[in-house]
Amino acid sequence: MKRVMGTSVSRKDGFAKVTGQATYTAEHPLPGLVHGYLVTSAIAKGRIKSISTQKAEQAPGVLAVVTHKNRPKVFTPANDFRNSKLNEARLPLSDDQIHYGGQIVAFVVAHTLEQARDAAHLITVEYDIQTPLLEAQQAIYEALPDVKFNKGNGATGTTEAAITVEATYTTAKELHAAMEPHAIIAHWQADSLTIYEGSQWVMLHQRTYAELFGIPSEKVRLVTPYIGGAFGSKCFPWSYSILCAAVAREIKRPLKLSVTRRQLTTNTGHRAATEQTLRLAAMQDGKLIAISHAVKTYTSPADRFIVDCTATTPVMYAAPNIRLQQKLGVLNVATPTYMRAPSENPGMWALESAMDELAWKLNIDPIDLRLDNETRAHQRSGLPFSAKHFAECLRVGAEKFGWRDRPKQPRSLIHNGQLLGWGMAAATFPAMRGNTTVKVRLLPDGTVHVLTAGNDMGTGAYTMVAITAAEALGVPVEKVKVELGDSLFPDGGLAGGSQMTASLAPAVLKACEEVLQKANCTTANDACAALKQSGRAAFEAIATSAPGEDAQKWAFQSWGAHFCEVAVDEAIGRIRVTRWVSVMDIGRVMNAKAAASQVRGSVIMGIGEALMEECQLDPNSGYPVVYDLATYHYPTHADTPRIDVTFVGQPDLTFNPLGVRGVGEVGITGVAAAVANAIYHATGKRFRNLPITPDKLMA
Amino acid sequence: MNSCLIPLGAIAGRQILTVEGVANGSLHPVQTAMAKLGGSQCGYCTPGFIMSLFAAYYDGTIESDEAIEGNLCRCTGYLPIRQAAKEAAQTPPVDHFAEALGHATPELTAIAYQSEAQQFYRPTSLRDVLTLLQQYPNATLVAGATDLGLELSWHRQVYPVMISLEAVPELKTIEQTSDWVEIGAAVPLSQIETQLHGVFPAMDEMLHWFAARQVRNRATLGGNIGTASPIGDMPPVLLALDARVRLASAAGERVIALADFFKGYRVTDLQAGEVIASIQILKGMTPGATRRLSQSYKIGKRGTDDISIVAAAYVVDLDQQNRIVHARLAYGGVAATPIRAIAVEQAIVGQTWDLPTIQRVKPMLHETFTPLDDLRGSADYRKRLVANLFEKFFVETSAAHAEVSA
Repeated sequence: MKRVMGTSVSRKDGFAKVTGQATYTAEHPLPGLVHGYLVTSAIAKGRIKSISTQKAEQAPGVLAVVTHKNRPKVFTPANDFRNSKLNEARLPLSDDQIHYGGQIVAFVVAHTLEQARDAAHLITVEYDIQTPLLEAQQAIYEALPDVKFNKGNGATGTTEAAITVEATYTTAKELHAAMEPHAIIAHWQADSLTIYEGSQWVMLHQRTYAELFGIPSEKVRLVTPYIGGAFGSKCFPWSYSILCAAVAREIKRPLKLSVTRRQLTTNTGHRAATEQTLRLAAMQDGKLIAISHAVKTYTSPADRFIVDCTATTPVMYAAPNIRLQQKLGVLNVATPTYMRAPSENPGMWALESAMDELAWKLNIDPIDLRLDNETRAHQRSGLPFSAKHFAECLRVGAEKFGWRDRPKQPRSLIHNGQLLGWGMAAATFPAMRGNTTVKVRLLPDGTVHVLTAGNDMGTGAYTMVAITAAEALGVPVEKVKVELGDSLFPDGGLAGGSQMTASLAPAVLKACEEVLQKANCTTANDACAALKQSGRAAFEAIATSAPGEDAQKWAFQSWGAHFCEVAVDEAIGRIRVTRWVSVMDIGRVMNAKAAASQVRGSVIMGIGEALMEECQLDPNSGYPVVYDLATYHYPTHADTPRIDVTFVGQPDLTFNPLGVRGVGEVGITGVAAAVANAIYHATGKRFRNLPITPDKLMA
Repeated sequence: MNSCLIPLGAIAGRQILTVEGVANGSLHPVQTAMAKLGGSQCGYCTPGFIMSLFAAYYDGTIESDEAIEGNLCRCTGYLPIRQAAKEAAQTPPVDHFAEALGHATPELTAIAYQSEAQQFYRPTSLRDVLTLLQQYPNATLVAGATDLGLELSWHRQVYPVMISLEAVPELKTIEQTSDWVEIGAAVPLSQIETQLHGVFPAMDEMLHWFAARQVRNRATLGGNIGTASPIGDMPPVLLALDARVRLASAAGERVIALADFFKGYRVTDLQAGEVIASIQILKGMTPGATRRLSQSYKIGKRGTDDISIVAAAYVVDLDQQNRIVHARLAYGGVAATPIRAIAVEQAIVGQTWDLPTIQRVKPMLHETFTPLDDLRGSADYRKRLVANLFEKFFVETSAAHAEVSA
């Protein structure tokens, strides 16, 4: 049998997607479906003095108008990640207070979408307006412990240092801007609830609805076969989801709500802007003496979301003195949430920019500076890394890019009247895995059914599961039928934190092995023969995989390096990324095609973050002035360089039986820094505030 | 085409193909390639890409970047989609779609739809348009609806009477002689792109950056000047070319300079009962000139699918001694209307076309307009672009000239 793992396998879901047959949340047809529409706040802070709904209630087709005065009852969930989790702790319409622009103030239901939308526009709200806090400088900072981590003498250990770099780096408020807007269909049948909704964590979603409505989990079914992208924004129910499900129960009809592009900006999370001050101190030979990383982020008054930008700082570079600090402010800005490498990406932007500044100051090649300070263990836990091929990432990347031959001085590369610049940065992301359960059935004709509630938000889970089963049973990938994204199936864990593959693949492997054991055969062929002989319908096994005790002995981490070229036209402020090389160590590569695509997609998102992605707010109303895919710029094909992706390293068998660590997020870390570092090489100007837009370049 | 930009009435008499309709028994070559090469990841953007590639497959442009310039993907990084396009191009387009494309497109017929709140007319002659306009002087004229479609879908605008110009032959033709070109107001931009390719370099360049192909398939020149947006892409080009606008009404016709057509922010000289019939452009140089330089620039935040921060178009006619005998510097995004830098134009006529001249007028250009700060770019950035783009134009055209004469 030919090996399947590590080869390039075409997506199992490809056919459904190219023919328009893949069914996304808002497309599930249900008889008698009625439609909801959200009304959101036009102010960012204050109180609803009065809300006039009479006209809306009398509008054609309207079935319900819900405000804080008549909101349906729901129970307050534990909200603890174990039993339940909401994206926003404040329940929707819970009082008359407005905490941010775009907060839900009313919900209208009608027979058609147009009727609901028209009626929604008939609602008028009178507010007691207060001055909102919109800028990070105005934030009231919460008393988090001042110092999160201190090693050695922290920031003071710099007296003997020959060279220091201290600078403040910022990232902008970014939107997930997944192609599929958020939507939900809630369908109550007696006391059973079926929810169609994109969910990165099916079983927790299910349990959360069960808690909200005080019903057993078995009474909630969550259906989410396809997700049109999520990037962290579809982990838990949002306020709109709760409202929709609650109102559906009251009106006793299946109810659909599609959040509009504009409403997505304030009701489905975003990546919070950050402000990070990095201080690096090193000896003249490049040995780091101290690293200090102080972070300010914000949350909304409706939840408490923390972006831990210091997460990877003690992972990347060794220093005898380390000090990590974090402050959390509260702003009248919509609730942020996880977004692709939520902590690691902004953290690595600051760290990898500062490392580049230090390399220039020391006149050391940035690759050598990184190699000279490489870690062997996580400096917080003290645990050694299970595997680390970071040096190989740097070496292979430098070779492919031609890094060592570069003209060293800034402004020394000129091509067609444009300045060229080369930059590099490191990448890293922790490897995580959770408990998952998978059911595998082998049929007499050799067909293999794999079922699990874990899902595929575009990452390639359908294909990855099929590859694993095909390899384990020695059958062609085409014979494996995978069904995902339904809470009727066994718990498939979380599609987030790049852990879906690492969590699910071992369970698939185990279930397949158990199928063969049950058949008392060594191959699927023999097992099929046995089935045919005995007349039995199938061999079936349900297996669970969970992280073992190794997590107490090792630190698991993926690594990488980015190299890029930018072309800068200083006359008009245009920056184009023209060449890119990424080398990643992700343990075992399950599907070369899908893994490379994950890295490419990450790099593009990182280029967007570096050069264009930013969701600005109206300084008066606090409402985003960037609210759709025409105003929230992310890269088009024309902005995309050729991206060369290579994988190095080997299966990380300490981590899990397949040695696979996941690849969804590591690729975005370091990207923005690589771009800014290249721009410095091109222009001699250091940019520390993202995104680096044309007007900043020309200022 | 983008379905969200097309009013229902506009598709009367048209066949509609969607992603569900391109497979014919087996998958279409474009679908096969996208599935095989991983062009689909989360899959939500896939139907759009399939349809863009499907259209490009038949017109021979599938391997060009333009084939997918109007579609966004947040997952793949575009490479697999591009690879799929290349792969699909290996199968020649010989099928029933290609055969259907070989037949002439049926003429659009006249329609008149009426509901309680709205009326939608699609007349088939200019005379009928003008008659309807007499009946409904405040009717909304619509051609490609790429701007109006947004008003309908995004801003929930209701237009009581809409008159579609899509089926009016008089507005749908491009005529040209050796001296002039006349472009019907309702000609789609993609038709201008192919039919007038090479005639006006500045127009070719701007059309390339105009939105994206599926928009250019519907958008028209009449619409682009009729909406009078200060950041419309084509007005600077047309201003630089001294274009004139022919306006028709039941009372007769009049022809005015485009510069006189723009009256203020989104306000034009178009009177009630009037329709933009065509745009006229002279091809020749100013008398006494021996060489014409012209180019246009669009500065946006990203490569395609963007509206401009600043757009500029230049025409400079030079005589034998390399002296400027005629200059047009037109801009978008710097004032309430598309606008020319007339004082600078006058200042450089008679000067030698060289770097010192450019350097002398740059400070003047910098101060010519007082643009706004907005989220696309700062006022300061815009002012610098106004000056720097002119220098860029000089550098680029000089380099090209040097190469030719070398």
